Amino acid sequence: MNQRPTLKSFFWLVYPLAVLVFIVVSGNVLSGESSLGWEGLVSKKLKIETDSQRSERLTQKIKYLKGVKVSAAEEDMKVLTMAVPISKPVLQTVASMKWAAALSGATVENYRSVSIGEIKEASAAAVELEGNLVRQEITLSISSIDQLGQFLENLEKLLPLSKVVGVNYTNGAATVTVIPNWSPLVRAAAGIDKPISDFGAKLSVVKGKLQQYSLSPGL
Amino acid sequence: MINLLPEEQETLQKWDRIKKLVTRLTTGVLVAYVLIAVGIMGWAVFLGNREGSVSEELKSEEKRLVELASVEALMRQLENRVEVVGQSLAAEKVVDRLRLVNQPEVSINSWVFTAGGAQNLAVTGTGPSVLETYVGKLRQSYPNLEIGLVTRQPSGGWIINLVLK
Repeated sequence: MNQRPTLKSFFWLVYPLAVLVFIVVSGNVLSGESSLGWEGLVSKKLKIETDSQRSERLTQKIKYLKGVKVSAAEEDMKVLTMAVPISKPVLQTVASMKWAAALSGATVENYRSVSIGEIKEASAAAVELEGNLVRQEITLSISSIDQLGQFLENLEKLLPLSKVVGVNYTNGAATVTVIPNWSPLVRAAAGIDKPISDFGAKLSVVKGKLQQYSLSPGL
Repeated sequence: MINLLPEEQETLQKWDRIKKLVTRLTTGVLVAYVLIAVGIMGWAVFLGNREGSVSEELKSEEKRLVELASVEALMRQLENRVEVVGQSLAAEKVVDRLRLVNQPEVSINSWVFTAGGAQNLAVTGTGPSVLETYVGKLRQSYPNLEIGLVTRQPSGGWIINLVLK
């Protein structure tokens, strides 16, 4: 006798179909961008890695800053500011030039300070070139070129540091033009993520070199 | 052998085998899927905890850095000043330029030095050979040296004008 298939005979299909639906629905969630989804987890993992690296950098920075001896750093700053002041050292440079002349036995005949205004009137290009600088000119009465050499050597070993930008020597007289070095204080904001480089070695070299220089007694 | 089972019975057995195979396969897939899903959820829990701890750590470090801001500002100023002073110290000394031109065999009549420009020089020597030796020495430091007017003085000395580039 030929039996026709009843609805009950297909009940076994409910199990595989239910599993299929479960996998499709939950798989959609697990592969998406939700907090439980694969993409979401991968991006979370990357964020954790980035944060960990940042945390490591910040730890290093904290360690460095905690190791800083503030009083010693302030003292270093004071020494370096004597070498390159934070404002135009006009009077200090005059004192240095006079002292260098006195040491070399030269006589100061004339002294002139050329301010930015004067340069501006003369040439707009000069202002661009010189920036916020002041030229100082000294005219000396000297006995020989060796005396001029002595003057320059003395001047270039005095603090604050200055740059000799011109010398005009003819028998018995010399005009020396100097630009005093100065640099305003940097108001750098303390950026949490801004790294601090270890400049200890550079500082030691600079301090070592500065030992060969002296402040002019006129200061 | 003679198949004594009726055809209908045979079909039922076939369907029964298919049913068992499908059920086993479904169970296998389900078990594998559940294991993978549990693994992913475990990883999610782990990442969640790690994210929390890293975030806490960062907050505490940021707070400590804010407390150390004045020290940081001082160090940045110091770093900048070291750079500025280092550059100033490295600048060329003009006295060294003068030492190059001021040689014992000649006397310098005039010397004009301009930073970044050429130097104009007039020197007196006892004779052309002395001046030639002198110019030869200068050429080592100034290969593009230009020789200008050479004159003989009534007193016997020779004057040479030079441009050092």
